[in-house]
Amino acid sequence: MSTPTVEDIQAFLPFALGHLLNPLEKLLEAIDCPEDFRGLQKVHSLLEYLFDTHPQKFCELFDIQQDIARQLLQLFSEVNEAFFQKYSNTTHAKGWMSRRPLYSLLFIFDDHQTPQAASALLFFLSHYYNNELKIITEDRTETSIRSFRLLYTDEVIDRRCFNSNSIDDTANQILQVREILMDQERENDEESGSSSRVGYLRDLEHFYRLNWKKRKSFSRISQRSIRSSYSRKKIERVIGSDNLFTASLLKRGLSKPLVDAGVSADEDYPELCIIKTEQPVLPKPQHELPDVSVIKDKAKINHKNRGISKCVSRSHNITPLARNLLQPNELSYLWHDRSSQRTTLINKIPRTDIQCILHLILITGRNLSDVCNLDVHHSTSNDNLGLIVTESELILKIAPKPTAKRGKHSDNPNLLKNQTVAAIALPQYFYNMFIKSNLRGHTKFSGKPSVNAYRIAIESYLKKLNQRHRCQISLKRIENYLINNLIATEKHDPVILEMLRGELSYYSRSPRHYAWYSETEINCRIQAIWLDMFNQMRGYDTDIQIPVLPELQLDLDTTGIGSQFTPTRAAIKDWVNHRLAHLKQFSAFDVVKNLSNLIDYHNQYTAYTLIMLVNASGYRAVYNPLPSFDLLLLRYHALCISDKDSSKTFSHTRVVVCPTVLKSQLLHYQRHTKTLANLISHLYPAQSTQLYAQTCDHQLIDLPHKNDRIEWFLTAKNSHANDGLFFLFIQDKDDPTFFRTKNSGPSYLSEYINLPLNFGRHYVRRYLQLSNVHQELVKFQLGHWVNGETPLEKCSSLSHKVAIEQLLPVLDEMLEELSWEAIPSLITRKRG
Amino acid sequence: MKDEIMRFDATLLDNVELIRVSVKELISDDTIQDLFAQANPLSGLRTSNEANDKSAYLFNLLSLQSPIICYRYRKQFKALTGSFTLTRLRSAIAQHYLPDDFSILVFALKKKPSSSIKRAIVLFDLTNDLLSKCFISDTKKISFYLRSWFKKDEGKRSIYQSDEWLTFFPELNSAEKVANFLSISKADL
Repeated sequence: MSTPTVEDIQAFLPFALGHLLNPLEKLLEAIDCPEDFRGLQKVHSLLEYLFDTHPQKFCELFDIQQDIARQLLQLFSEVNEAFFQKYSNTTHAKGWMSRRPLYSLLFIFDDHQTPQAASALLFFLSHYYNNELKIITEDRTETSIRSFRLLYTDEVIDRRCFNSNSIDDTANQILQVREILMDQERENDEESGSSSRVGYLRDLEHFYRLNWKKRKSFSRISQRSIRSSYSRKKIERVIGSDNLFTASLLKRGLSKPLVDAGVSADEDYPELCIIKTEQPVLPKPQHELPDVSVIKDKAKINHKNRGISKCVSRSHNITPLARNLLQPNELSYLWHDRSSQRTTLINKIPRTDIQCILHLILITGRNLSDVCNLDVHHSTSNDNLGLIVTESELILKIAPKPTAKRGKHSDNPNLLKNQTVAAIALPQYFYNMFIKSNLRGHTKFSGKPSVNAYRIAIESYLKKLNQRHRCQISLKRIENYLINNLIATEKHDPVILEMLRGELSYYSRSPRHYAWYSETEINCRIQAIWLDMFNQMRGYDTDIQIPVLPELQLDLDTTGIGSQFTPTRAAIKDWVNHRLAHLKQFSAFDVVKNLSNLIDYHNQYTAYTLIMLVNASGYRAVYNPLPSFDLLLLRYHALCISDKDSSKTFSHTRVVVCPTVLKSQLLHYQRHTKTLANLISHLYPAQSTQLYAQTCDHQLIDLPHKNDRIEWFLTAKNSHANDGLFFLFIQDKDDPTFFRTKNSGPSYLSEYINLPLNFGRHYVRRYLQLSNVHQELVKFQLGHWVNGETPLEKCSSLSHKVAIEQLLPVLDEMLEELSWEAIPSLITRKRG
Repeated sequence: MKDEIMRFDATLLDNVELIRVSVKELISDDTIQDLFAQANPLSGLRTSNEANDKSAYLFNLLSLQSPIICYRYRKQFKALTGSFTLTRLRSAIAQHYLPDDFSILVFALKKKPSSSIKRAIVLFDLTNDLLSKCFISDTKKISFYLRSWFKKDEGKRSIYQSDEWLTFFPELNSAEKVANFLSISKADL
C-alpha cells in the first residue's frame, strides 16, 4: 500500500525541518501509514511510548539515530489543521487488517501500553522486518500479524509466549503452550474456543521459525484407536470363509459440511480390521501346552498373522468351485427331495416343515434362527413387517436401516425419493410348499418347536440325504450359499442380497450407502439371483423345470430403497444446461478485461469443471480434489484418485476411468490455469507462482527423494489451504473488494449446486448397476473393496487397461445423456 | 501535474542508479495493481497462455530490453515499469527454468516518487506500448484500456481533455485526433 511521500509530509507538518523529512518518510513507510494520515495520532502515541520505554531497540528497529528519532516524534505537536480530523480519528478503518496489517497492529496496540506489551511488540516487529521478504513471498503477513494481535490481546494465553527475547526460545514456548492447550481440549472434550487459539499459536510459531511447511502429523492412527471403533459384541462371518470372523463397526460422526455433502463416516474405516479365528473349545492338557517362549515367538506370531491375512484374501476370492459353496448336484438333490411325498416325522417335526424351512433359508440366505423367528402375518395391513401370507402368494416385507442422516437435503426435489419399506414377492413354488406344510397359522415362521429342535431335525434330515447321495450338504453351507455364490460369481449387487438377507454385512458397508433401487428393481434383481441358482442346478440336471417366478408389473417407481443422495437425471441435466448457457454467454474479452470479471468467470468455470469431475469420476466430496495434474494418466484414459477424507490409510488410492469429456475438460482447465497464472501475476503473485509451478511438467524437480514427494502429496491431499489447482476466490466479509483464494471444498462448492456433493458417486454407481456392468468394474470405479480385492494389490490379476476399455463407453454415454460438454475456458480464447 | 512530471524527467538521469536485485525482491507497485485490476493489459495479448517452454528465452537480454524501473520500499523494491518482463521472469522462476535467487539489473529511483508521479510513470509506459507500439490492435480494446486507465476530469467532454492525458499527448486533445492518429473511425473508439 502506498505511504506518504516527502511532499505529503511537508503539507502535513508544515513546520518540519528539511533534514527530518527523509527519515520521517522512511519511518512512515515502515509502519504502513496511510497517505491521508488517518489515525496516526494513536499510532504516534504508541510509537512515542515504545521509544520512551525501549529507546535503543526502537532505533535499531527503524534504523534511525536516537536524537533524530526524538526530534521526529516531537514534530507531531503541530499538525496542519486540514489534516487534523483524519489524524485524530480513533476508529479503525475498514480493510486495514488485510491491507495495512502492520499499521492496524500498531493502531490497536495503542490500547496496550505496558512495558511488557512494548517489549513483546518490538520483538515481534524486529523479527518481521528482518525477514519481511520471506514472509511476503509465503503470503503470510496477514496471518502472522493477526495471530500475534489476537493472542496478545487474549488474556487466557500464557504470557511466557511473549516474554523471551530469543527466537528459538519464543517458538518453543509457543509450542509448549499450544500442547498444553491441546491436552486440555482433549481432556475437557468440549468446545471452549481453544481450537482457534491453537490455530493462532501454530501460525505464530511458524512465523518465528520462518517455516510454513505444513507438518501434519502423518503418524497413522494407532492400531489401538482403529480397533476401538469396532464393536466388541457384534461378530460376523468373513464372507467366503469357513471359520474367520470379524467385528462390526460402530457408528461415527462427521463435520457438518461433509454430512450435508452426503459423505458417510463409515467409509473411512477399513472393512476388515479385527479378525477372529475360532479357538479350540476344550483346553489342552498340561503336557501339550506350548512353552511361553514359543507363544511369544515373534516369528511365529507374524507367520500366523500372515496366514490369517492370506486366508482372508482367499475368502474374498473364492471361485464357484469352492468347497463351502453348494455345488449344482447338491442343489438339485435338495430341490428334488422337495417333491418326495413322504410324510415322516423327524425329531417330531414333519419332513415338509423341515424342507420348507430349508428352502426359505436357501432362497433368502438367512440363518436358521432368523428364519425360525420370522414374523408371519395373515393380514395385508401396512403395519406389518416380515412374511405376509395372502390368498395367492407370500410376500417378504423388509425395512433396511438408512445409512446416513439426511439433514439439509431431506426435501431436496433434485434427489430421488426414499421409502423405508419394500415388499419382495417370494416364488410360487415356495408358496405351494408353505401351504402344504404345517407351518401355516402361526405368528412365527417355525411354529411351536424351538430353534434347537429344528437344528437337530435338520441335521438328521441332511444326514440321510447326504448318505443317500454321497454328498456333504450342511446347514451352514445352505445358509451361506447365496452370499458365497454372489462373491464367487460377482454378477449381482451385494446390496440387493443384503436386503433379502435382512442382515447388514461388512462386505457391503460402503456400497450400501450409494445404492438406490426402486421396489420393482429390487424384485427384478432378486429374481435374477434366484434364476442364477436354478440355472446352476440345470448344469447338473438339465431336466429341471425352472419354477415360475412372480410376475412383475414394471412401472416407473419414483421412490426407492437405499441411498438418500442419488440425484435425478433431470436435476443434473438442468444444472449442466443452465451452467453451459451461462458460461457461453460471455465474450472472450469481457471475462478477462478486469479483475472482478476474471474472478467471477474463474469461479464459475472452476465450479463447472469440479462438478463434472465429481460427476464423471465418482470423486468423493473432499477438499482439494485432484491436487496435481500429474495424477492425470491421459494416455490410459485414467485418473489417479486418492479421495478419502482422512489420511488414515493409503488403501483407497486408486486408478479410475477418466471419461472422454472429462479428459478434454481437464485439458481445457489446464490451459485455463496457465493463462490465469499470467493474468494474476501482478495481483496475486503467490497464487500465480503456485499455478505456474503446477502447470509445468517438472514441478517436483526439487524433491528428488521419494519420501519428499510423498510428504508433498500428503500435505496437498485434502488440503484446506489455497495450494490446489481448483482454488476459488472468496470474498472477504469485511471488505467486499478484497478476495482471498481457498481450495475448493464441500462448503464452498455446495453454493454452486443444490445437491449433496457426493452425488457423483451415487449417480455413477446407480448408472453402472443399471447398465449391468460387472460388479468388479463397479468396485473398480468407486473403490469399494475389501481385503484381497484391491486392483493395485500384489497378487491382483485385474488388468487396468481392460477394465478401462469396458467402462469407458458406459461412462461416456452417461455423461452424454447428462449433456455434459467440454468447454474451453474463455480466458484462453482468441480475444476477438 | 505537467510541471511535476517534466521536472521529474529533467532530473531523472541524476536520480537513478542501475543495480542488481533478486527478482524475488521486486514487488509490483500499488499503482500497477490498481490499473491492472481495472483493465489488465495482459488480457489483451494473443499469446496470453504462451509458456516459457515454447521459447528459448534470453532472460538477461529481456531484462535490459524492457527494463524495470523501481524504487526502494523497506527492504524490497517496488516495480513501476516492465510488468511484462516481471511476469515472464516470475513464471520462469516458478517453473524452475531459472534459479530461485535469479537477479537482474534494474533502475532504482533514489527518491520515492509521489503517487501522482508513480501513476504518470506507469501510465506513460502502458500507453506508449498501447498507442505507439500498438501491441494490441483491436480498436475496441484500445478504447476500453484508455477509458479504464484515465480519469475524466470534471467538466470535460472526454478523457482526451484530461490533464493526465494531455501530459503525454498534448497534441491529441480530442477523440477525433486520437482516432485519426490510430487511423480508425471515431465510432470505434
